[in-house]
Amino acid sequence: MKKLIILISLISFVFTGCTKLDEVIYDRIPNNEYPENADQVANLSVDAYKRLQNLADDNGWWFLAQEISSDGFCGPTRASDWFDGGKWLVMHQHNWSNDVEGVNRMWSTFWEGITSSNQIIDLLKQLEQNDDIRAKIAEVEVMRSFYFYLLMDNYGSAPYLTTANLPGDFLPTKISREAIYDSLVTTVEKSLPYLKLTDNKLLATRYMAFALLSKLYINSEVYTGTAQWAKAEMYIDSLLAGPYSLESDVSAPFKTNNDRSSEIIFSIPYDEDNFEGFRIHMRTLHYQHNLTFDMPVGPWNGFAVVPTFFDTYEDTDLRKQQWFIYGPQFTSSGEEIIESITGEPLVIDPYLPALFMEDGAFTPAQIRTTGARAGKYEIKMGAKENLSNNFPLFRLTDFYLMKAEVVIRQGGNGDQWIDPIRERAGVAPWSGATIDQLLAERGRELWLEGHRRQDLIRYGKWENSWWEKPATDGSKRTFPIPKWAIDANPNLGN
Amino acid sequence: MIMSKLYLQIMTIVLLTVVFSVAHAQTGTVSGVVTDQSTGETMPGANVLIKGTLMGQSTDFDGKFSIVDVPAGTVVVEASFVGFLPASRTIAVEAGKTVTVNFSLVPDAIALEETIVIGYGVQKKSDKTGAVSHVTADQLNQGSLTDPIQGLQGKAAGVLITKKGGDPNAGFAVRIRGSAGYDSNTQPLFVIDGIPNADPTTIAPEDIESYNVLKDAASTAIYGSQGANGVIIITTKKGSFSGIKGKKSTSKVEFNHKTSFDRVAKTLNVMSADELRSFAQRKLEDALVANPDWTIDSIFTDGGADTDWQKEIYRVGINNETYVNFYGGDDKSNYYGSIGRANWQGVMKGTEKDRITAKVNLSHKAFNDRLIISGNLTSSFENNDYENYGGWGKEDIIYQAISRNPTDPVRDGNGNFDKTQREFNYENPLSIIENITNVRDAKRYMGNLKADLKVTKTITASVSAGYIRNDHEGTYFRPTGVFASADNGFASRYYSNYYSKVVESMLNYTNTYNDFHNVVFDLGHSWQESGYDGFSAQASNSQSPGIGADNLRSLVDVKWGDVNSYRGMSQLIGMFTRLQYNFNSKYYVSASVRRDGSTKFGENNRWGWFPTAALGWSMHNEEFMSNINWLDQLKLRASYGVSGNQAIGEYRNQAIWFPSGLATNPETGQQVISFQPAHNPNPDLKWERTSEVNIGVDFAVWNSRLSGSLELYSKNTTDLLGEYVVPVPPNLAPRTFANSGAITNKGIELFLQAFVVDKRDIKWKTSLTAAHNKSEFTDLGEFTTQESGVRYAGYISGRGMVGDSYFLNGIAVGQEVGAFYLPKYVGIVDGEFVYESREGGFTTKLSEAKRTFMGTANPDIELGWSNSFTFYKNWNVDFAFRSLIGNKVYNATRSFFDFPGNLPSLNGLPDALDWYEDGRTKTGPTIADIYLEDASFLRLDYISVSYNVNTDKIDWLSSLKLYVVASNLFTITGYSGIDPETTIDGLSYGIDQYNVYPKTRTLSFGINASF
Repeated sequence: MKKLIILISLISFVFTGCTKLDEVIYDRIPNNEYPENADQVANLSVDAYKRLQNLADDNGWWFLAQEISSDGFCGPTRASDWFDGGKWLVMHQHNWSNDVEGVNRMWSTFWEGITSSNQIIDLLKQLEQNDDIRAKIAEVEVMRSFYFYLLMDNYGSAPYLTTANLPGDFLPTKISREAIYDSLVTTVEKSLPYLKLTDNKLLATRYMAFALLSKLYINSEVYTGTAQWAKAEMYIDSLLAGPYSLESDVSAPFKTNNDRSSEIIFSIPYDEDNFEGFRIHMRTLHYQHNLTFDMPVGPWNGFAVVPTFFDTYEDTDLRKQQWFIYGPQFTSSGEEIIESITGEPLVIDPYLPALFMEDGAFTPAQIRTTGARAGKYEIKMGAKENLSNNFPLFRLTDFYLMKAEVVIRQGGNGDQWIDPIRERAGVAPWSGATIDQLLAERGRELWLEGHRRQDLIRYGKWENSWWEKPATDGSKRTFPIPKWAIDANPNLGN
Repeated sequence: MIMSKLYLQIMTIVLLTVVFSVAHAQTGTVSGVVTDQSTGETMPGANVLIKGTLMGQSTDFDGKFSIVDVPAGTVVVEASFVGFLPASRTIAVEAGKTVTVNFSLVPDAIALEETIVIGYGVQKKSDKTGAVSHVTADQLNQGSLTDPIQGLQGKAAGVLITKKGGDPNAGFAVRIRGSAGYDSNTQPLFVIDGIPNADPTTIAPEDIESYNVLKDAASTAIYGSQGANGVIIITTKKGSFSGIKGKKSTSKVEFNHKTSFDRVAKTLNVMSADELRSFAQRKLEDALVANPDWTIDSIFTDGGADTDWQKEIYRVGINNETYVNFYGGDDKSNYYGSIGRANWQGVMKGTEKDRITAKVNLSHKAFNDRLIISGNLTSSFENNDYENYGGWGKEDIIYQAISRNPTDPVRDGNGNFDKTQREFNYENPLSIIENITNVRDAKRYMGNLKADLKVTKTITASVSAGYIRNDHEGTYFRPTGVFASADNGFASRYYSNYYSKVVESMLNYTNTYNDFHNVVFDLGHSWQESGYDGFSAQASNSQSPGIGADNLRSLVDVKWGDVNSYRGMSQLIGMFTRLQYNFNSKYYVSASVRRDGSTKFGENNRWGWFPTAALGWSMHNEEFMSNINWLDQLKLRASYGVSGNQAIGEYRNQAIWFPSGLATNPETGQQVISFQPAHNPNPDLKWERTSEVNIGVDFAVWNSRLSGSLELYSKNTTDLLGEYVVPVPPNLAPRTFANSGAITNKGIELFLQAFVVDKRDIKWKTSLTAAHNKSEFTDLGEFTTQESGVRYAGYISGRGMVGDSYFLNGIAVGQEVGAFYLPKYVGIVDGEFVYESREGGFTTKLSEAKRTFMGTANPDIELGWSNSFTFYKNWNVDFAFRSLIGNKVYNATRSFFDFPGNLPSLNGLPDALDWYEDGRTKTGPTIADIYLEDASFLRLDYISVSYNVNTDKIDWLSSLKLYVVASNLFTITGYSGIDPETTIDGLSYGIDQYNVYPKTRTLSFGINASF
């Protein structure tokens, strides 16, 4: 009996330990508690805009892919620097596979924007629907359409999804580029009445929607085979009637503090500390340019202007003088910069001899100091690794030139919309500008704003050869869907 | 919650103790002396007990015992001592009288009665049913050990301990039987003095009494969820009740001191200044054809000096280790204390480790020796001085030293560090060493309190509580002007804390029925909670080089993300029961079951069952074997068990949102925090399971002159924990953490120990460990495969190699873990590498090249051979060899440094000259099968010579030993790189990429004295 009591008390002694597991989450928000309060709800839609952050540099690749694949800009190999497995060269020479960094990352970045927008729309649809909520939903649908526009423009056919509430094993299938285009046009036009009619350069306003529709319609022939110049013109006119006006200074829309520029319709609000992601200056400036701009970091001496493009500017063109960095270079106090390897004063020679410059076939001076550099986006004194200049996604000047384009294509005369641009740039106006002249002017004016690839394709010049780029066939008008995406979802490979 | 539970259990013990007061009847006294038959000396500390009662005693320091209150009648008196055969006598006790019984104990056959430590208990070595390696302190490696675990290298079969290079600040990777998981941590569980999850660097190597390595699932399953990768139980030295055998005094003080000199064993043979100059001349000659007016300045700028940069960053390191311990005890309590200080001056300038350890172990008996309370407290204080060397950035000094142009001087004409700016990321490593501060201060504490109560003669109850606390604090400061490229300075401070609490309680029932049936039954419960928290702050643009990081207000630029804090926790609860039964030490059966729950897993699968069963047959105890005199032991064992692994981060089973950055709210223009989901929820996330079958043979022959064991095992690890990419949409986040896939490990281990020569004047003991393990992926499950069933791993990057095609390993069903998956190099055409292409032809594009599986970094055989010689009682010579055979290493250093295009601006290997002659101009650093080398090696780990001074005449000095140890004297290998040893851990390894802290050759001088 005694033994039994002992045994029972001992066993219960051992098991007075608990069996309840207690998990506490301290430094994250559990899914079932998000959003925690009204403020977080109000900020839900901000994430749709946050996904623009990666577009301008190699996290998202979009801006670089549009520019270094075109006839205006390139990423040359400078001996042991910048070869990087060929990822910059293949973009310029249209030699990419479905497994290069540019192709891989652009796809993820666009989908991050699309999914984030869909997640927000799903959350908003669960709330009580009132006018504010409906306006918010419309706004985020336009943002989603913007990401789909970039996706469709770069990759062609792709899946089209309007919600993020899908079963875990769902593998989406592609629809044609034309079908996506139709959906986008319908969605954006349907959202127009809900969008705000204000000059807010960071928000999807009704004007931003006009701009997006103009871009969709003007490229309609590329996307669907059928041109829609008249429709494009209708939306361009709505936009030109908006609260925007041309700046008198050709470089004003690209200054560090360009957030109130009268030309900018929609932009990405980069900031050197709080919203990083725009560092074109690091990629293009020479190693010692930190002396010119009092920078606390040393640039990487890479990207340069294609020399044949450099020659398309007249010498009096203010844009050539202000946007390109070439010639003798000086420190911030006016002294010559002595190149650390050649020992000579640093003089940037815009004549870039080749896309691939190996040690031994080119002199150190050629390798290190050739190719005009990009100074279009103001590099402020004391610039850090990231710029604070807002990146203009839609700029009024672009739509002036697009107006001229649709007019010319429909048989009219577009000079009145081209000449203000040319005069502002300090070159003589035209009379009876042709479509090819317009393309050249678009190249000069809209250089380094992410439009060149789309323009060359629309004008049928994408397959041409230029400088070190050979002629290619029509298969390079879209990028292939990346291999990693097809491996994760075989439906994308069909 | 813990406190109340502990309180409850303590009160229960107290209550039970009080209940058991012994009633006195008619009694007498039993007394006598216990002596050692082989020497004739008396034996203090021997156990004498009255069989069938709780009465007993340890002999005093004269070997005498006297047990009172023995009930009158016939009793059996038994005397025993570790290492001796027990002896018993049946006597008659008369009331009021004293009976004298003397014992003369016979030493047992060596080592068979040793005890080994198993999970939650001890076992006689002869009763072993699982695969356990037992290594005692005298068998460990000698020399200057930067971490205690280094002592175990090559000593336990199947335990592969590796470290790439010789950084005193870096740790070792331990892999038992090829344990591999996908994304989970595969280091074994360390249990130190009963505290699980302990950090072995907290204790001094001299504190260790033995290592017990539990290798098979049957032994580790009692640790349930934490045991899948093996368990290493470290027992530290303790005092013993009733002092030390053979000596008059009951306490001892030991003093150790060792001074070592470290030299770099081998550096990379990059070119000298003159070799580079003549190469530049060669390039000029070739360039003159197309450009006749070029001069040498068109090719490169000569810095004018002759610098061996590797020599500049290395030095002779001097290490000093001093250690004092003291221990002793009487029949009621014993103690052990130690304090030590070790300082390792790394051979790389700017690296150093300083460690102070202090330890106290106490034990106390009460309530008629029924209650034993023991506690231990260990603390270590460490200061580390670091240099970066893991990448190819501005601060990675090994890369900078190897690639830096030897014609550049160390200092320029003004005495300042030379800051020529030749390329991107081109910096003077000495400027970095001298100017950048990168230090850490670590404090580690470990404490345990345990109470063992002998409730009845067969039942023991115990409860223990343990606490671990590790606090790290670091400082980094870089003033302006360190780099040649622009930089305005940076400072950061951080602290990171970790704690672990354990409360465990156990019931043990040990009994023998009818003299033949030996039963041990355990019942236990364990509750653990671990957590961490940390804080960091950093800023750039330093305005005071003197203040540095000590006052972060001296820096200007702080932005979002510069200030950070974090915190997390997890809990683990387990219940287990174990039965060990043997019939007359001939037939053994044991079984255990453990049920564990962890907060890390999804709500559907929080709890798991981990059963084991084992059988053993001591054939040598059978009748039909009793005539075989030369056979001392022949034991067959078979076991099966299931253990689990949960070594992943917390909170992976649920979707959680984290602040990912700032964003501007377009409507208000205000900055807001953007929240994003970290990963997808997975309520089914569960234990990684390892099921293992182990068959073993233990044998000892010729009076244990030769003994050993052989193990054969097959392990199957399923439900591997890992992260895989999923399409978004439909998922919330692009990554899901889940269970999928399986790996098998099959192998054979052999351990042999022989006393080859055992004469009075010469003794030679040798031991050999050999192991072969083959690991294979049998299923990849959801871990999506990139192409035809192969998943890529082992990505490398560096100057000229940045991109997604630069991977070296392939993970595929049917392939070994860590298999290399490389393209075949065919030749050079037009300056470019040509590979075999997937379509069947040839290609110059790496992304199109056909890849083949080409061996693995896993060795086919691991060998360890230790020898110990004793001459004329005073001289000892020990040495140990270690070898890995059949392992391959990818020499990525050659990939990065053999491209002639980088020269003469940067330095490289002489291979570059050959490539230049072959016409390689276009293909930069790249991947190819030509860089895969056989890295089998044989290494003399250490050789030590020691002399024991005869202290018989000196009464205050108990022993004195002087010794010299030479470590890493030579290595025989065909590998062309700096060192063939790489860290074997994770899923992709065996990649030697120049960033290896050099291994050293060390000479140590030491003295051990005890008083």
